[in-house]
Amino acid sequence: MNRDYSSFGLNGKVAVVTGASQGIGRALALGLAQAGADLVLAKHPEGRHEEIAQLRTEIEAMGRKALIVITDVSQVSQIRNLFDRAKEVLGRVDILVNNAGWTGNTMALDVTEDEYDRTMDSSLKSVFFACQAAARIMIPQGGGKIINIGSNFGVIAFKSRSVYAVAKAGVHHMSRALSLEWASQGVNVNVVAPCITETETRKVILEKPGYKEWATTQMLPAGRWNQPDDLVGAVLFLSSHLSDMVVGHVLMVDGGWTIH
Amino acid sequence: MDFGLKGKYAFVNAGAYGIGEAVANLLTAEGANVIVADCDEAALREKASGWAGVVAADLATAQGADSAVSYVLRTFGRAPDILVNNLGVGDSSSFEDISDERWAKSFEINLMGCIRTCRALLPEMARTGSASVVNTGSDLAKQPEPTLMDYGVCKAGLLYLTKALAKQYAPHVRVNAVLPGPVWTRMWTRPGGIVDQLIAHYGVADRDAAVKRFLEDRYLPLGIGQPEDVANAVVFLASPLAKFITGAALDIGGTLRGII
Repeated sequence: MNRDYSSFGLNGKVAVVTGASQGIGRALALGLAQAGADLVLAKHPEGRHEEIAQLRTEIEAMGRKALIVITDVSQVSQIRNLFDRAKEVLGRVDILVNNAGWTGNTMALDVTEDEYDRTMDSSLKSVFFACQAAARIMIPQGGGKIINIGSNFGVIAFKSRSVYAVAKAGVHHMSRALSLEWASQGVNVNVVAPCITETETRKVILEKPGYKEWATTQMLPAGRWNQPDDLVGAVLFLSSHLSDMVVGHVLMVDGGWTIH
Repeated sequence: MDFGLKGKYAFVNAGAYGIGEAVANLLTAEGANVIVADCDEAALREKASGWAGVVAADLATAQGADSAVSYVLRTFGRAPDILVNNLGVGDSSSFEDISDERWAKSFEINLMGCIRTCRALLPEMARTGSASVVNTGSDLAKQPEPTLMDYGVCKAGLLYLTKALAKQYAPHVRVNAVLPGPVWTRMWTRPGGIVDQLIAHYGVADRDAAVKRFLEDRYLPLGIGQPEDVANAVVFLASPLAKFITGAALDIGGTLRGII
């Protein structure tokens, strides 16, 4: 980490991050830990077991607690288990970052029912039920902060992402709807919406011939890819007291992609 | 907090009171060198000791904006790293009562002040390599209200300007806006201000009753904000924590609206 985030003052807070084993989730978990929070790391049952263990070691080396809970977020029962474990082991939940999600890369004519369901279940249904489970803990506690990771494709459409774009637009609007119910009870629900971010799972897209040149010259005024670290500041702002009056907002962290 | 702004040069226009003053004070507390411009010379003189410089100027005129910009460039000996355009005044009136003269005046105060300052400073700021502009907009930029048409039209224009400038000056200058809902400033509290206008509008007995009715009418679950709530967001957007955010408009105040 090249910045000191300790002044965000999240000491004693417990943050749940889904999809924490790599990319954006990993960067956000480290940023939250550096800001003082203890972490609950939700990780899909398949793959990357060494990576998540490594992340736990890094967080513990900062003097923070880190609890790994294997969770398939597309299964509501597993989401409930995640929050039960968080409460049981760390006693509370102050921050939730819904980062986990999945998308295919298929033109609409070829999307199968399985792909549709997998995308919606992992990227939209999971967010609703994780918000619900978190708010059931946060409201009796007196409040909390929920940050849902959205997408520039939730604002503008994109070929081969028809289902994902709907899921992310749903995440944006759901965050407003949940805010309407929970803001007065101290739970702020907001969205951080990135554009495509340079992570391992996105390599296959980013390395397609011509894609990088097109995106960085035509679509990204910032002239470069989003890096996982670019999202840390926005998530810490929305996790902290600095944003107590910010609610139901979709904060674009997209290098200007959606100005178009 | 540590927003990473130590030693930066910042210019806040319309900073003698309210949101502008809170922004100038937070930037100063973060270690930035801050020049504040305002038309209220007496208020500036009283508060000057906390800031790196003050300049009395009517920022709603070409001459006033020119003299403030000249003072900033002369005093800093360079273009600022941060420009906060905070100038704006709105008064509740029916559409039929807003004369040509008032439309023109509103345009000068709520739009041209920002345009002239940006036109004078942004080319110079771009040469510094990584500068940032934050414009104070309003939730009315996205949610039309019949009683504040001149103000709202200008704030909608300011939102367009923010996004177009973000595109024009990327990646060297990031340009963002904050869109506050109701904030407890002089625009609300002064005699004849919005609170008094609400008393007349609702036909209620006192200020508390007028504000209560307003909050219920608009479904504002977080109540009326304080200038510091907006300052936190302005300084975040101005800081390196938001280095991949440009062309964004951050809603503050939980109005949960946005028809445009």
